[in-house]
Amino acid sequence: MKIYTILLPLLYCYSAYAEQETLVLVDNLNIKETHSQFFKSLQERGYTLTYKLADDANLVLSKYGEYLYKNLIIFSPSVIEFGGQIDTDGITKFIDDGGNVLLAGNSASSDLYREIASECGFEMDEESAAVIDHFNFDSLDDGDHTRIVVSPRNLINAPTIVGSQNTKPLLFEGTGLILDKDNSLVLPLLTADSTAYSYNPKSQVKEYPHAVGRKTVLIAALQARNNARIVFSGSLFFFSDDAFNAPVSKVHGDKVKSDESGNKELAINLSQWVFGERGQLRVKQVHHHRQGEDNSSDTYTIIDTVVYRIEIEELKNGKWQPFNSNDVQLEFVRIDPFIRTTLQKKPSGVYEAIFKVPDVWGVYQFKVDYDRIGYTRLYHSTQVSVRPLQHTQYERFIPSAYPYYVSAFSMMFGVFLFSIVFLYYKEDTPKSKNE
Amino acid sequence: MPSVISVIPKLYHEYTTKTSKKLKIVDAYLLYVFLTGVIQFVYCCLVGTFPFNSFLSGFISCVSSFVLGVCLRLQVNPENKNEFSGLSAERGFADFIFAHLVLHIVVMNFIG
Amino acid sequence: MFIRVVSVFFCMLAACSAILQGTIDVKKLQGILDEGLISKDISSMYHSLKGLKQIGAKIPDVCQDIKSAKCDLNNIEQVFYLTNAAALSGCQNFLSPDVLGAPVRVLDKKDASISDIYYAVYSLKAIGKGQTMEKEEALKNLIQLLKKDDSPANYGFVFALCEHMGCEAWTAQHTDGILLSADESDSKALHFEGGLPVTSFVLTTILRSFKVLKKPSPLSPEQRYKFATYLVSRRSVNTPRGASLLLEAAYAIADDQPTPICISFKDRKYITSEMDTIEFSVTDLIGRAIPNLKPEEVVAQSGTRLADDVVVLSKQPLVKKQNELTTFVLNLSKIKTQYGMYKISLAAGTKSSNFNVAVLGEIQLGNLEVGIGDVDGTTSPKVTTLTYPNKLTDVLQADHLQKVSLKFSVKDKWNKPVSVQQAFVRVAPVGGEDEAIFVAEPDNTKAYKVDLNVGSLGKLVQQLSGRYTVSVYLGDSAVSNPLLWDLGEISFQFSKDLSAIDSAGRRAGASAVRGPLPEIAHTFREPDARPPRFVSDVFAAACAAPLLLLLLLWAKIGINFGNLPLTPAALLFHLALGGSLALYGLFWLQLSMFVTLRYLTPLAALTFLSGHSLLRRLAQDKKR
Repeated sequence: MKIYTILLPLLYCYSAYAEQETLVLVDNLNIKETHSQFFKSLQERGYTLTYKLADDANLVLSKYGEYLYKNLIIFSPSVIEFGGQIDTDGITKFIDDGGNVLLAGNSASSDLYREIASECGFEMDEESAAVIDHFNFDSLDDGDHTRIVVSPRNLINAPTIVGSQNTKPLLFEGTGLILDKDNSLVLPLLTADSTAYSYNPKSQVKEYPHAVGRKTVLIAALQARNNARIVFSGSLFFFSDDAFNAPVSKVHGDKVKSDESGNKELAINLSQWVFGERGQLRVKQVHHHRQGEDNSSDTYTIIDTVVYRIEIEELKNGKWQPFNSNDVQLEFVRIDPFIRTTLQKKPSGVYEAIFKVPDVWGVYQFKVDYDRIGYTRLYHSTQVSVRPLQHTQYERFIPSAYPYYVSAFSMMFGVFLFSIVFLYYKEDTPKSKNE
Repeated sequence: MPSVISVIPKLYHEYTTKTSKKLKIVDAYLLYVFLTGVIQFVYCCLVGTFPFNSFLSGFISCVSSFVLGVCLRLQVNPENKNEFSGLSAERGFADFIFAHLVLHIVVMNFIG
Repeated sequence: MFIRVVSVFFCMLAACSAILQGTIDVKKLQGILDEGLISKDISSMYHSLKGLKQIGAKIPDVCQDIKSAKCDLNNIEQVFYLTNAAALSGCQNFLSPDVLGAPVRVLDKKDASISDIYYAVYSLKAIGKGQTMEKEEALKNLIQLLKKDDSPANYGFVFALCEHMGCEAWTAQHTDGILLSADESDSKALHFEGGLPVTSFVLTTILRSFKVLKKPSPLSPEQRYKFATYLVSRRSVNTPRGASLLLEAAYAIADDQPTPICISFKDRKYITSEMDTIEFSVTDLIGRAIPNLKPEEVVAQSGTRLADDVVVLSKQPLVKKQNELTTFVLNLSKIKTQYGMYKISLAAGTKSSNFNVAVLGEIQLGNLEVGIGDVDGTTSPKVTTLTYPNKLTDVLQADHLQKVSLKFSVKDKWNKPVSVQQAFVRVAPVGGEDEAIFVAEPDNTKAYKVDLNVGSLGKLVQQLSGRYTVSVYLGDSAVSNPLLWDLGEISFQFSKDLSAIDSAGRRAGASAVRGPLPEIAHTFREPDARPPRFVSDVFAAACAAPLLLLLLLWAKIGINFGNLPLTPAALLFHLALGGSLALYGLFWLQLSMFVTLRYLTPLAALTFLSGHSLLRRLAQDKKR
């Protein structure tokens, strides 16, 4: 037992340390320098970055079944095949096991990217296609109108993911994605304008473009059911120092101008989300009891009023702090929910519901299933049984039953009298004989 | 029909003269039990079955008392002596009391 | 030898693109350096001073800042920055004598690393305490240390120490080996392991050493070009350290003849019919004019249109702009009417490179025809004609059995039809989020046409009938005025196809999963109806009434106690029986079954025993 108490803090330290281990796969080590500001921001936040060439023959994600890295950054669009033990399946498995992935491509991305994208529920345009917007391109564009200026209004409305202070225009140069409509787990983080489309800039539009208008997703995200997070950007340029520092000036339309693009802010926000610094929820404590009592119980009777309290915490700036929201719901479920109610917010992250147990007995669950865009899915269920009233718990001495009470006692009294009267009655037989 | 009506006073006369007083005592008891049951039944029909368990115990208490009373009457009736040979009226009474003790504890338990 | 031959061969191959398409912006870097000067960080200040010295800018008086800068005097690297910053700005007098401690300690240490030795030696040198080391001995020691870790960075430090000790000859011996160990990325750029700091440090040290030795540069033109390419790719540095390192290396490469040539667009990358010339600046890496380059050597070798590979110009010399040493002008008036992207191959001296130039032009829209007709074409469509930029005057109507066709042509400034890459028609509900975009296709006469089948359009916008805005988007990379024409509104009537609506509803349902769900409350069973208290009481009394009747009947029949035997058993029996029944009453009122049974057991036994003896007595009495 003692060993455990010593080991546990150690294990905890180890896991906190492993949280920050990040593998960066690049085409060439030059990317480390051209994207230095992005990597620097990660390092400043405590990530240990391990840079590897994507076709390095010694790549490994896991050793002895344990992952060496919690996060994976893939900035290697031109790699045709990963080296070492990493391949599409390996990355899919990494995600299935809860790893976070940040992936950025460009218009020259290889089929490997397309494979990973389709595993995640995105679809990437074919090679050499780029997002073109003749109406919203930057003045530093090379002539193909692929260096496009995207308004921060096109960001998804989810401050947890993209941050709340995106006001500067964004620069994007790369390929477009489309999302599987029926997949509710994928999120379009940044979409293009109606005037944009994804096509090879060098050729005439002969077929319907892969992505057109607002359906063109520039940056997409996926939060898997196991809370693994993936951000897939069509543009590697988006994360570069070039894009971070470049001035923005739109050639047409509203001629937006800015001394600096909003890329840095958004890139940092995205990395914070994708690597789980934000939008993480956990249940600290759950307590339920009969109203007026203090002790928890796992059995309630059908007339009880139950108080359910759940304490939820959110990871903010590396610390678990009380979570604030108004839409946490509780369900009281026996196969189907019998009661669904919005929990009342109390101070310090406590949410409370007081309700009367349904008058249908059976095995129930208190279920809190909080699934909001940008947050990890919070699911907590506690099983309790609801049983009928005990023999002694029914209502007694009901006025409507007085006639029955009276009759029953009358019967008893009657039999008592009868026993006396009947037993000692002496027939006047002699009299009748005399007659 | 007139014959039926004319039969009733005859029957009544028959009863008052032929029946022993002891049996009449039993019959009075039976009538009392019967009437109590009937009143409960009427009440139940009038106001509904709630509380059903109380109604059941009250009513069954009457029905059972009536049945037990009838049994006792059969046993103590001298005319049935042949049928209950070896079983004295006292024995019948003892059974009657025993059955009542069991009946009422059950009724009290169930009446709520 | 073989390697040399091969590299020369490659150099010839690469010669066709041996022009850099970008320069290092000294002005911008100077801005970064100026900012570094006022930071309180000694490393930034040192690098700023070094960079500013390199570009020959005026250095303000920063002695007080250096004095007050935070510096850990036990950290040899920081001491190096402090002392050298002081030396660069001529503020040695402001240093406290404590700074000597760390360098001396490092040099006395047996196992100091090469970098520490470098920092220590140069710190001492900066404050004028440079010792003359035992040259042979020291170099031998350094070579020993190099054997442990022979990274390019360490070689750089040894080269720099050699400069101090005067053993540049050793540097010259090892230069080739080090240059060969440089990493190549995409076979375009060369850099040393460790990135910009190491690349800059090693290159500048080597080139300085060779200058001292008065030997020709060790870099081949190809290497020079590739290092320059690397430096250009790093021009977005934003720290004083990076800026200073970049500047140093850029100056070193630019000063090394023959210098790599950079050609870049001066401002525009396109021409229009009004501005049919394009300006290039032909410079070295840091934006200076190229010595020995005759203006007539700058020639546009060829020009081809990207779309169809038609050659549009060849061997057209560029004109040097007057009073500007570095600006050359290419006149493209020949192709100004032919919109599109062109590839121009520019040559400067023996080297050349390709540049993409756009010929931009304005487009205009001819008339646009909106036709609404039946899908099967049985009736001739109703046509409305519009001219840009007018809008439809009234809302057109179309139902799901009809189609809407749009027909328009795009013309250039001279009314010649042209084709554009983007000719899209967008249909969006008024005030809604959805949109459906269609691609208009040109026919042989370059007239664009698109048919909107209302029935299939419905599937794209969830079958929501109502008013839709229709707009035309025209754009191309060679178009200087992309057109967005809002045509007006069309009211679409979609079929009420149940399955389509169903699937739309399902989709809406799927997205609603991630939000608060409607609340559910449980409906409790209604309590049973209860009679009024009065009725219950009346019936309670009624139930008690037969007991009275019983007593009356018994009284009428006439009861007696003639058989009462005078025995205690009789009393006992009745008491016990009554007790039992009273116990039942108590049981009903408050007792539990268990307690009741516990009390009942003796009572029942008593009843049985007394009853038994009583009845036996009665039976005997009867026989008698």
